[in-house]
Amino acid sequence: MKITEDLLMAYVDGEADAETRAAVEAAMAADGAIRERVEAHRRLRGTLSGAFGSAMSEPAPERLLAAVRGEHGPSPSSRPAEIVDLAAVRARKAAPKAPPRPRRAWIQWSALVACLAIGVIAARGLGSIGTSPMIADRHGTLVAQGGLSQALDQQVAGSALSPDQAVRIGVSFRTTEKLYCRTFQVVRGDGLAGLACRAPTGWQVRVAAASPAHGVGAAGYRTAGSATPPAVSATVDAMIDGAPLDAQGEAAAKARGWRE
Amino acid sequence: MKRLSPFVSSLDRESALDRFQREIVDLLPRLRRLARILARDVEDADDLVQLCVERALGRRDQWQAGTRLDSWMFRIMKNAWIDETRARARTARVTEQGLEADHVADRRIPTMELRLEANAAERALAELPEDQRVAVALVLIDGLSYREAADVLEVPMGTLTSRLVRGRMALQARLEGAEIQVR
Repeated sequence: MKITEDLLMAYVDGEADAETRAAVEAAMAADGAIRERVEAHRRLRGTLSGAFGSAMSEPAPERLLAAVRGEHGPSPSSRPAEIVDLAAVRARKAAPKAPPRPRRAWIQWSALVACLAIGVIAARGLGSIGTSPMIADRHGTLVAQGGLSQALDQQVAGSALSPDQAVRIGVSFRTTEKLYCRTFQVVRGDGLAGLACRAPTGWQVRVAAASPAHGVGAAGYRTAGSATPPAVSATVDAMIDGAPLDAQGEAAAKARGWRE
Repeated sequence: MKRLSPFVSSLDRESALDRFQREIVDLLPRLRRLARILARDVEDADDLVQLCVERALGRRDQWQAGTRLDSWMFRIMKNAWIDETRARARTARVTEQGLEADHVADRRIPTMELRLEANAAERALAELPEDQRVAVALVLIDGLSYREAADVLEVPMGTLTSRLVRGRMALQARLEGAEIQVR
């Protein structure tokens, strides 16, 4: 049997069959260089066994225990879609450190981030400004209403906010399925950013994420540099057909009521 | 009425875990170790573990009791990581991938010499291509058999062993400065 390096490694790993073991041991007895190679493989195993040992000895952080308890979102059985990506995990992790908010509301935000195909969420008072909710749950579909619906219908994308406006429209585009969609930011209250698409019955919110309004100045409007949450940009990337609408395209779409 | 302290209520919830969840809790240290080797960043690693746990809970009906939960969850983590790296490539997000070796190495390792050795091993490991890094992690660090590791990675045995051989050669060359020839 030819003694190759992978045979020596398999021997050290305890993966060699009886025949190979015998052959390796015979070769070791006869050849000091082979003995040295086997020793080197054993040394490497020993060195690596202590690597990243801190992960084994540190207690797991509370957020991972909470994840095991299923406290990060709706219960698995009612969850319609999986978490999109790590950005979503990060967004949920980062947001509660901002102004503390009631736990119930937080569960709703995490559900929003989690669900691209938004399903059954007990949504009451989502994105409320004052007492009127901006997003409502209509038979499992999240739809924009009130000030948000109005802004999506009327406002020009990218325009500066006047002090009485609570919603900023980021970009308008058409999807590969020939729907008109617009990104939005609610800059009052808890702060929320998302993407809504025009369906025959109204604006459906496809994705939304907590977006604490850190950049809001004294006058109440958001200063420059407020980023679109990654979960929202990723959804835009996935849905957009070509480039965003320019001012002319947007005006034409608006004139047709954001329909085909 | 006075509210329970968070500590007490957390204990209550702990005892309410079912067997599947308790087994996941027991696996957390190994999941975190593998995640650190994949993500090369402690915070990213815990994000990856969290994602993996959430996916596992969401798919628990796909897990067959009596089969190995560790391999099943490692596979979920591996796939979650592939999704993540694809997403990063798509959005061309710039990430700080620098390995903070001392941050990652175990501070409880008794002697400075052994600690330096572990640090050096971690740094050398971080420089390996990902496929070799994961193969080495599963077999040499976590202690899975070749068969189990190949199943986690969903590759043929031959692919796994060749990654192991190349990964080890590179590690030995870095750690011992030895030029090794494959015979």
